[in-house]
Amino acid sequence: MIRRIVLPVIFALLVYGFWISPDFKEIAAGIAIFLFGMLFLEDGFKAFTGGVLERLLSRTTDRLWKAISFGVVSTTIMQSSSLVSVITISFLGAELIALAAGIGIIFGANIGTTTGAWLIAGFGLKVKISAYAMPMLVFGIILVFQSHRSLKGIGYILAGLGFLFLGIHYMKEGFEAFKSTIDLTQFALPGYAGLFAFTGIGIFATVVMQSSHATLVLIITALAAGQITYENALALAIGANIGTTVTAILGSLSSNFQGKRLAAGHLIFNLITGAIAIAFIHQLVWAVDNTAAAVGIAADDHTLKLAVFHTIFNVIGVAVLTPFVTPLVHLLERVIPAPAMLDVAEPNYLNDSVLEFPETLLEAVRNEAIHLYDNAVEIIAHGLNLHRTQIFGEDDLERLVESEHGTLSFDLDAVYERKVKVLYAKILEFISRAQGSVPTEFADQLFALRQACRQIVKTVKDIKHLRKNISRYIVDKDSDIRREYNDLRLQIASLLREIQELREIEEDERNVIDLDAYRIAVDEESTVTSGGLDDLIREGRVTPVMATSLMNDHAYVHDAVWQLTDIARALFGSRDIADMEAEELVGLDEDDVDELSQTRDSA
Amino acid sequence: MKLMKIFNRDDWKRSKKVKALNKVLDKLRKKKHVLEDALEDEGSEKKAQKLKVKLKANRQHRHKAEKLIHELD
Repeated sequence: MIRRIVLPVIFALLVYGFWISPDFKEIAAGIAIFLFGMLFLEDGFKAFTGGVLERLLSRTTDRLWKAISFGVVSTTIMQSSSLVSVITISFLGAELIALAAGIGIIFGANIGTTTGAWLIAGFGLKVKISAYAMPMLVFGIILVFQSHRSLKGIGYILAGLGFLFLGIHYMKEGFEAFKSTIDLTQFALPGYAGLFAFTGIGIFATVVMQSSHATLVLIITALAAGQITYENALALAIGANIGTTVTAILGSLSSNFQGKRLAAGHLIFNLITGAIAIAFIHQLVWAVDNTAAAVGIAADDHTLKLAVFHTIFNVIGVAVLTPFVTPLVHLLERVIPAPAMLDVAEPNYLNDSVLEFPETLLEAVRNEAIHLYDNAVEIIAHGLNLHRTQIFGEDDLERLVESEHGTLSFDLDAVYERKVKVLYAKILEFISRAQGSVPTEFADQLFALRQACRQIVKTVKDIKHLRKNISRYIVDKDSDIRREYNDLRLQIASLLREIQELREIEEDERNVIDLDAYRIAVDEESTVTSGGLDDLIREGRVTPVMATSLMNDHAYVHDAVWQLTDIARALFGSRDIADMEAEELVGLDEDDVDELSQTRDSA
Repeated sequence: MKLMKIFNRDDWKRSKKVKALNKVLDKLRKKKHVLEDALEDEGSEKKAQKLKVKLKANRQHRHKAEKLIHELD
């Protein structure tokens, strides 16, 4: 309802403003061009998010100070705390970083964003900024039309900066001209009334423009033109700081509970920082005056002093709240709890916030595929009449398989429906949606993960077929058929244990192709393929019916082993493309295994 | 000429591939020693057989990696 009213009201106000004042039109056009530049700049940096930025971000999780530093540096470079917030939310949504690290990055982004005020006050207003804008736009737009992703990205960044400069120029010109027709300072409010009123205006302006940067540029240009008082400008800056959290809140709507926690953390931080700034406004103004004097800023250079104020109150906010990050994390975890474990498996990592960042998207899909694998392992283990704790424990598997011959009572079909089928369908749906938007270099990896999920489902189905005879023959009085079926159980259980052990090794140290030995063993150690089955039938130790079952079931185990080794390569193998290719080239395929079998036969 | 070589994308890609293959080969060599030591200490015949299969796979992997490196270098 409110949305339906707000937009027409804003449009009506703008049209009225354009009608009565061409200078207002110029200022509004300046803001529009500035925001357009921000969009270009964000698109440009997104072109580089498929690697460097995400790798850097993922490395800032171990220490809080590193996370804060990352927030400062990345926001200073990209000049967009919104982009940093959205990327952080997507990382958190995919559970690639912890909440505390995410909060650290947001703290840093709040300091980093204050560099914008310095650049505009120190550089943007002192030189003819439009002179830089024009060549940037020309070179930028030429590069935007290039097909190479990086060149296109640079083009967007250059054009974005060009539009930002042009927007600042128009705002500056507009306020200068505005001065001759109307003096906005007549609306200035002194004291606490002004402080609260202008903080509210700052919040509103930032919520509407969705950019604290744009609000700050507007404040600084208006201040430079003498259209607002220094005192009110400080209040507007506090408001802009609070209003900017709306972008993060909107970004978190498509994220999971972790993204929502971060957005709430951002809001709490900025509200507390704003409250501190309002409560200690006189002390802050005194600190700004002294700092400005110490660094050689003229007492009447209010624009630069505003930049000093913006930095000081954000640094104070970070300094005050950093010791409380852990309690803040606990509070957020309590207020926004993780969704209860449902009986039906739901995706943990897939959410729309990761769709824009290819590397994050791949990680989210990989984590979800691992989630699917873990659910499938439960069914596979029970299908073999074993518990996962037994398979992943330290007991001798051979002895365990021989001793555990009781049938575990569980409805495999029902568990499959609840824990695998629904999740698999959601992963497929997500990958189908993502496939159109990922760059080609990521498409192959996405396809491999999709294949791995298909193989997980197929393995569960193989075990389903196998289960009936396993349950029947492992309690058979005939020791030969019992041994044969225990061997089949052992093949899969050993492979599952080795995959689990592999997962616990550091990624750089693990070698997934070691699992290929199971591809050889599944046939080499089988009575079915080694000719031993014929002897058993001839000697009357197994009936022809048992032999037929064994042959069919061996085929299921053979497929399950090959699929599980493929799954392990896709989910737990190297993530580096070159290393992944090397593993693929060196890994054993069917021809290699056949060749090795012939060597055995001839030997 | 040297500068041309630096910017030769195929050469760069090939050297990256060789580097990755060498990394895999190093891990395989380490694994070979681990498996050989385990085989020496293994008392159970069935488990020794499993280790022999692992060694066989390891040998084939190393053979493939060395052949690929030789072809690319």
